[in-house]
Amino acid sequence: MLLLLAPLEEGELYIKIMSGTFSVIPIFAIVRKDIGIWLRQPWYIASTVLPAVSLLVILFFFQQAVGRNPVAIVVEDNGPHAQELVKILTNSDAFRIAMITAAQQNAEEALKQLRVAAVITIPSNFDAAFDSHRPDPVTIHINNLNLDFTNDLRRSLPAAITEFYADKNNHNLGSGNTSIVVVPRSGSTSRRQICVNRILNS
Amino acid sequence: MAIVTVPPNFDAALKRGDQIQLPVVVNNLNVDFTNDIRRAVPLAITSFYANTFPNQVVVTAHEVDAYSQDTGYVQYLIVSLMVVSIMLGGLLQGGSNAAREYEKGTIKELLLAPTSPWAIQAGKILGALALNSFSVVLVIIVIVFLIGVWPVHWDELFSYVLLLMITFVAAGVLVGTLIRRRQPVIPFSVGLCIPVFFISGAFGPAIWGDPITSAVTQLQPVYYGIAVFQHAFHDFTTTPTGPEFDGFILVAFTAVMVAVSAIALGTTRRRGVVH
Repeated sequence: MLLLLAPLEEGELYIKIMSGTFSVIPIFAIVRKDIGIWLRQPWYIASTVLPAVSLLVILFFFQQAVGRNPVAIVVEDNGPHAQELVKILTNSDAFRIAMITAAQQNAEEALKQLRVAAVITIPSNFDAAFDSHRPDPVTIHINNLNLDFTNDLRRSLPAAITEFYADKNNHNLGSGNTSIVVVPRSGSTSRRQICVNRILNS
Repeated sequence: MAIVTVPPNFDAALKRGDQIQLPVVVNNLNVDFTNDIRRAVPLAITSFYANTFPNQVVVTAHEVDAYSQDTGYVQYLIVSLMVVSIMLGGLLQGGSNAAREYEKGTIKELLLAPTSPWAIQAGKILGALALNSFSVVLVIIVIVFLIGVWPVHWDELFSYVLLLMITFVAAGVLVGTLIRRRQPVIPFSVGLCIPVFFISGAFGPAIWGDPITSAVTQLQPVYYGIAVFQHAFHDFTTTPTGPEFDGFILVAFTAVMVAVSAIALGTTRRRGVVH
């Protein structure tokens, strides 16, 4: 099909399709009329714009929905190992620290009032148990409303403990070995090398 | 999405205390699932050491859960979706029914009837409510019998379903009364439901999100609707105010919505209908 825009008569444009021709004036008149009606109806404008804006707004809120949840840390031990674990937990990318306190009751109250999603408690004998190689559990009290963020929190504390041991290994041995090496590769893939024996040597 | 390679000399190197490198190739298309892998591999190594050499890995995580059993993501999310489906159904049904009266010109007959705008609007709401109930019953059947999310509190479920239906049908009638055309009612309703769904704590308590968003969302009924439905289905508390207070707020929203809807119709009667 041949579509041409050509001035057949002075001052007026015509569209030529195959062998027929017709003026563009009615086309623009209809467009102008429809836009005019649309502009005079605020509800029509709102109903045109709202779905598109809604979809853009979704991105912002969806980012928050999958974002980091607030967590409280109860630090009952002021020893260096406990402080190191607190530092690692504070820098965790799995959650954000909303409260650091020495009072268990305050944190549990925050959990009850939904101000935090979990309470991580570092016990008063943390350093002593660690130094004497006795079992040294760090408690995490989770508001397990749904598995999505509960699993994030479940993984984040052991991940922090792993990092804690990795740091211990580097400091204690003074080996200077980099425990985790990330070597970016071409495309969308990265290579990560993890030293397995860093914990065993600590 | 990732390849973890255990090298051939793994056991021998472990016995000798040599350094062992585990190459992990990750397809890091986006940070969300890449971080899952990044956390999972070191976690697996720590678990391995904790099991094999318990005396050396003494720091462990001891988990205490607030609820006796975990709830899956779909089971949680479906309850939030039900609230939004009631909202969308109510807005569309109520809005279309009210707007049709203006499009067909039959609103003049209603306004000339010797009765109050409250009675007219109550009739419109009840009519739309009856029609909307078919879709709501269908949604409940799918959630309960097909997906298998069994409500803990059936009485709360039916009470709050009715309350939310009245709220959103009244809102729909209000929208239809104001817009007076069916065509824009549909995109307006859909466009309103989508962002409201995301800000109302559909995925988890809204209060854990951005402070401004969590403050704004408390001004609209879907936030309280999701909270009371999560309690009815799972016995969860997802707002600091608790399900009883949230129920009272919903009753207030319903009363306000019905009142505003009737006032809007009363204003139409005073001003007259122009075509």
